[in-house]
Amino acid sequence: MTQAPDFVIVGSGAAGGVIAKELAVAGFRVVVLEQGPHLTATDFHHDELATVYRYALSNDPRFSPTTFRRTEAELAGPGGWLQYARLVGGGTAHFTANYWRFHEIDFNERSKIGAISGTAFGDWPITYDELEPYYTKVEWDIGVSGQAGVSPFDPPRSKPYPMPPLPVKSSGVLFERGAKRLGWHPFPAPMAIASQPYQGRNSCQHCGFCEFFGCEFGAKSSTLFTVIPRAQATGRCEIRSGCYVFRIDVDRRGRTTGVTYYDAHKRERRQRAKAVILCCNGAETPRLLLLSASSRFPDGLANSSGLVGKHLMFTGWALTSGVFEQPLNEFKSVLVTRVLQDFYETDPARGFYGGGGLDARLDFPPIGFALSGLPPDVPRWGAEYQRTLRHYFTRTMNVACHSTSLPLASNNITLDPTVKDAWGLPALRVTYRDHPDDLSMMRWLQARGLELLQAAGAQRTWSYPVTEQSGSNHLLGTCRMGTDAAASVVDRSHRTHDVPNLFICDGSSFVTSGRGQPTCTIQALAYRAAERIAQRARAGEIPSGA
Amino acid sequence: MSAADFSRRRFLSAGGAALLAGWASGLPALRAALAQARRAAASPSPLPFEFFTAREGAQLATITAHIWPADDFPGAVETGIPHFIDAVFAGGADRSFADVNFAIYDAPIGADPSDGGFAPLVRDGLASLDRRSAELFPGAGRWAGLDAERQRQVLGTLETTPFFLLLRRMTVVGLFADPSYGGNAAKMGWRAIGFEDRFVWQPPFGAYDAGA
Repeated sequence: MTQAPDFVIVGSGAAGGVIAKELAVAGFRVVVLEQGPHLTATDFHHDELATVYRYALSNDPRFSPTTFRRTEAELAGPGGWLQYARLVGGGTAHFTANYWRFHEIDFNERSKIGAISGTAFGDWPITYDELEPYYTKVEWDIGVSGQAGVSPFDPPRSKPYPMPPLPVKSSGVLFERGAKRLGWHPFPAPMAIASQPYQGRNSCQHCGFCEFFGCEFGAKSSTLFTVIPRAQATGRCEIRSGCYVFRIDVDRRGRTTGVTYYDAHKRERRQRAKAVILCCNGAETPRLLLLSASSRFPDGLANSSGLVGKHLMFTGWALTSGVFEQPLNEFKSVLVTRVLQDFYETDPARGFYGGGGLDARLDFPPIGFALSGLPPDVPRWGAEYQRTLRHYFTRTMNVACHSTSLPLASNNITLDPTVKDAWGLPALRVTYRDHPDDLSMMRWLQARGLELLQAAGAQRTWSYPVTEQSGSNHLLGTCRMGTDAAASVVDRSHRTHDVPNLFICDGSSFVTSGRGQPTCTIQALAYRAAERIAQRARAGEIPSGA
Repeated sequence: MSAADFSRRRFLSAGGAALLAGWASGLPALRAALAQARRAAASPSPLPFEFFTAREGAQLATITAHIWPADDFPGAVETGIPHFIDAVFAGGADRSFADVNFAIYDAPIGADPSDGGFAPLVRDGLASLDRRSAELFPGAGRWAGLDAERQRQVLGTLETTPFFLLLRRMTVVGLFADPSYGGNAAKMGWRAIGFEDRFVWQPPFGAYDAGA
């Protein structure tokens, strides 16, 4: 493209893919810059060593180190396990594909229960009702399998799921059995995986390798297999892989003129654009804004509020395990087939803020299970280890617990002052300590998970103590949305308050964390953002840079 | 080294291939191959190692056999683990067994690779075995010559050291990684735990969803 395109989108994941397709279909010319390669279904495999431990698809700390500290008083050291994918499709290429919608309460809980001291707990500037049509659009355009109307806690919806749920696994049957005995309300897991052929894509072949892995059947509803090919088919969208954007360029009037990036050969390149949209995730988006500091914007671009990188939220997580008499063979098929959300809302009787949900799964591929899937009192080597592992691998399931994470200014993404990445740029520095209520909620849900497994008839149950988190694959809240320019980074339409032709849409836009599964909401925001950005562009309300 | 480089290092030793042919063709052949492997392990000049010396290799093999013993089913030695670990070091892939790579599924071993990777840690650890044995069982001779129970006791004193935890991590990975890496010979690691690499399945998947 010799002429500057209408939009440059940085990142091709959950949000970037959707926005690229929506804008290209609407007639705009779009260039998507993605740091990773453009792989196809035939490139994906089930190699656990290469994928999980050698980061074949995800953030490799050898090239992109992260440093970590609990508090701002500490010197950060190596650590901080931020799991995100670097390839076209981003996190949606290797995710588990849990597609919970948020509930009404996730948007207005601050008004319902009041402030929480020491936190930035707040309402979103939009409501569930406002986002509902876009959730429906996600489910039908991307392709989500599920069953509406089973859970009494489901938020209202305008349309059922486009595909029936995936077939229940043994973990789902046992989860349902235990939950019902306890009077709880399990329902089929909504998953962004095709349970039947959908829009020219294969249905799931039940290979059992979703979490961390790319789908070699194209059945996972990744943006790689869904909206990105449709964006390209318009002829107006170029997906340019191998491009590491490290600066957003700004003119004298404070408008962006495009971005500067390293190509796959580490050569510096420029891409001009009339407007820029950041969809790099809740860690890389604030990092890019901070890397774009200039004399005009000394604290980082779009950071007049000082909130770029602040209020990092992970979502809470806890695991419980149970072993059953007969084989479950959880290494087959999708990770999760049953969920419950009976504990979604905050209950003052618990004595702390928070809520969440439970799901049935085996959270370990074979090597992972052999390393750490067994009960704490089983030896880690020798005959008893071997006997136990051989019996337990096919007979074990987990109940995973997902919960809230409060926004704290002291939890944040900053640039490390000394550590550099393989391109010589400052490394991501993570500062994070769970709020005590978040830890209490994780522990409370973990106890419910154990109850469920016992009610389901487990021969033995176990768990490891909940400890403070030092990483996540859910990176939220670091460029929060709001109407007050002093208390947020983007407005209701995802435009930055400071730069009129710079937009941000990804997990960083979140005001609250939700209860564990953010991607469906990231994409609902993306459909809504794309519509509003297109409206403003057509109305001539997005000034371009010089 | 990139993941692709690591993949290119995938190998199958000649001895491993022979075992593989045996394991793959059913139970009688499996038992015959097991016997053969045990003879090979007991012979004074077993399969050559590329990285480790013969003495180190023999110690390594015995340690992996203590971690994952043979009983009615092939153990670590028969599953190719000593040579998997040897190939990891020979190919310079030992650094990828660092805690940062295994943060999600393994407790830290408590040591990072040095300039020489993990080789000094493992070589020093192997060299310390005889010293440990002499402390625990004075006059009983070298660790390799102790009976299995005494060998285990010596290893027990080391089980929280980075040396032992690294070898445990490598043994487990070798047992259950894709066989093209040289361990998990004839998928014996996977077979031992009931994992099948068919990757296309239809319900019912397990006993409890059979009637669902």
